[in-house]
Amino acid sequence: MRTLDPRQIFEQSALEVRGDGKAGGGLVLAFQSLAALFSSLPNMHVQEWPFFSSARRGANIRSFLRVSAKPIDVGCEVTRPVISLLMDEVTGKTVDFAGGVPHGGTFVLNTRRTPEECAKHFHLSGRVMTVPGDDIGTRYLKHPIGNVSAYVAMTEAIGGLEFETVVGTFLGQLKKRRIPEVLLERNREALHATKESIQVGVFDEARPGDHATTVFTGYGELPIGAQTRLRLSQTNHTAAFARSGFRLLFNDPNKSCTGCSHCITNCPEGIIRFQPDEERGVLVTGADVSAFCKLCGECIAVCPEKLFTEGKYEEVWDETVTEARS
Amino acid sequence: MSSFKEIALKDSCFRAGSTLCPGCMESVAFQNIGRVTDNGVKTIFTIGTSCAEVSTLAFPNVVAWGRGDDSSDDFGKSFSILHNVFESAPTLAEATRDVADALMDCGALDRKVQIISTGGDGGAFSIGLRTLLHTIHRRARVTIVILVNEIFANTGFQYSPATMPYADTSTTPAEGAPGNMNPPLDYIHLAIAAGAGMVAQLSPAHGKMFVKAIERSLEVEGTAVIFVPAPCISGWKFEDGQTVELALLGARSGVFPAFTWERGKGGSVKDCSIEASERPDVVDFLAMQRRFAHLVQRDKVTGEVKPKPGREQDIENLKGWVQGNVERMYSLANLK
Repeated sequence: MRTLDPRQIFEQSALEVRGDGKAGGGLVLAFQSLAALFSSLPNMHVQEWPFFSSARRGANIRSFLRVSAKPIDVGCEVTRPVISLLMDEVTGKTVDFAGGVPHGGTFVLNTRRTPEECAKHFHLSGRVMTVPGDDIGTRYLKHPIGNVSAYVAMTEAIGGLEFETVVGTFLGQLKKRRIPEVLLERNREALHATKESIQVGVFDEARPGDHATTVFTGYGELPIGAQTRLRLSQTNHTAAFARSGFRLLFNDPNKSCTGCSHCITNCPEGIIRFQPDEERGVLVTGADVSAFCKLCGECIAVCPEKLFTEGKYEEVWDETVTEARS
Repeated sequence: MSSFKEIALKDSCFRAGSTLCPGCMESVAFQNIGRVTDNGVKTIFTIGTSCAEVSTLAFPNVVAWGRGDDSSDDFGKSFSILHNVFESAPTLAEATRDVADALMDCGALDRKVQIISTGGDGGAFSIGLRTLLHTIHRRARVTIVILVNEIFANTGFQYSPATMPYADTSTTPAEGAPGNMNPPLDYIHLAIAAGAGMVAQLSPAHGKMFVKAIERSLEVEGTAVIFVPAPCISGWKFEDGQTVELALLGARSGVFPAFTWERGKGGSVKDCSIEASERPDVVDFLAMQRRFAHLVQRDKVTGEVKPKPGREQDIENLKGWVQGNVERMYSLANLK
């Protein structure tokens, strides 16, 4: 299968790049560093902007980047990127990060899974690069943040850049954000450590009709005075806001819940499950974790009996992959 | 009035599905307001632009308000939301009350409605102070809930008139400067002076007092103003799961004491002593938040919190401000 060469593309026209991730996950910094890196090169035109809502933590966000040797005269969002980045596996559940990527494009994923697993799971056709960014972040920065590694993987995906410049630009961006010197050094180590952990493979797994671009056609006709019925949205599954790989657990085998109802009134999502109880008034039986729990940890903090905990959780993608791994 | 547990079991009209940050206090406040207003009276919310508006009402997908897809025939279960820009929430509530009264007078409406206006501190004290004071001054029979997170969180954590002294915000940076140097607006006194019927400063961390205050505010004559201190996990920069703890510590250490006041009856400060020695040290409150990282540091071994070298005087100034704040609350409680 023929893959598209990003360097060739930006010599001729604009190289379009798009990233999907969670707010607070460092996607914006990674893209700003990429933009800074290219604008430091001679005769290069760069356009970069993030797209996010007021949600500061956990919600899906997007970042766009255009790089070209010629002036860029469009300003719309990128719908057919040649390189697409997925910062967080969980984001891939609700957003089609590969949407609109042409056959033979490049997919960069921040995951500890292999390129093959990812290509099969997301039906990707082209060059697939994976990097275990969260692990590298945990090791060097004591925080599961994958933007350092995602940034390096993106520069590798584009290719032909000097590694020292790549490192220097990222640290320059951190300095702008008033990051202390100690952390800069740790980031430098993380940047260097990333290079060896990138895995690459070329796959052709997309089926016809996969990752088709959808065109926004408007909301339809608005009613007079813009009055609408409040339709409670059950589609925004905010469990994806939680830190990846963790989930809230509830364990109360001895029915030691005192019925103080602090978890019920202090849960920001109102998803604590309970039933009436004669003795204590109310008996908490758990929480609706799979759909809406953002894992803010309030219930863990307020429960006097310590019935809530958080535990590791790994999503199983499908049977065949699990077998192959074991 | 219902007991705290009864209220806890009520059906809130604010549900999961908003894009607010994990552990947002505004969300907790809305959950509880939603439960209290499930009292058989139709509620009309007027919401000004704020995090709490843009993250819970996004046409057409993210709507965290509602009681499910089936529309209930029960008028008391129904509620509606009017949205307007930052400053207009209180005046919109006032207008809604006027229209409701006019409809009642001519017989077009035969049941009571309760009106709650919500907004942030930036919208209320900076952009919309005039409309807030106007509505209070007109004695409109509405409840005004102001979520005070001490910053413009929605637009990127800029300074607001309620920001604590020395706080690091994006417009009062603590690099080469000590952070915010403006003492915050005395908004509680302002609301009392403007003619409010009831004024309270309570966060949902004081669960029982909070729901009681909201319940009372729906009955009181004149305008009820409830300031809800809302620790902002992204703007105050603290760890997950500390929202309630921080709200309690802030109230107990005297930064935003739990306060309730009613016209003609006076008021009280709860859970916060006037003697500095009987309160938790405000330094512990500062140490939990990275917006004060330029002032204090925590010893990694002993866990003891100390001022950063050269910042001792700033901490003393801040303690002085907190003491003045508590004393002022006590004197406000004596007003009738």
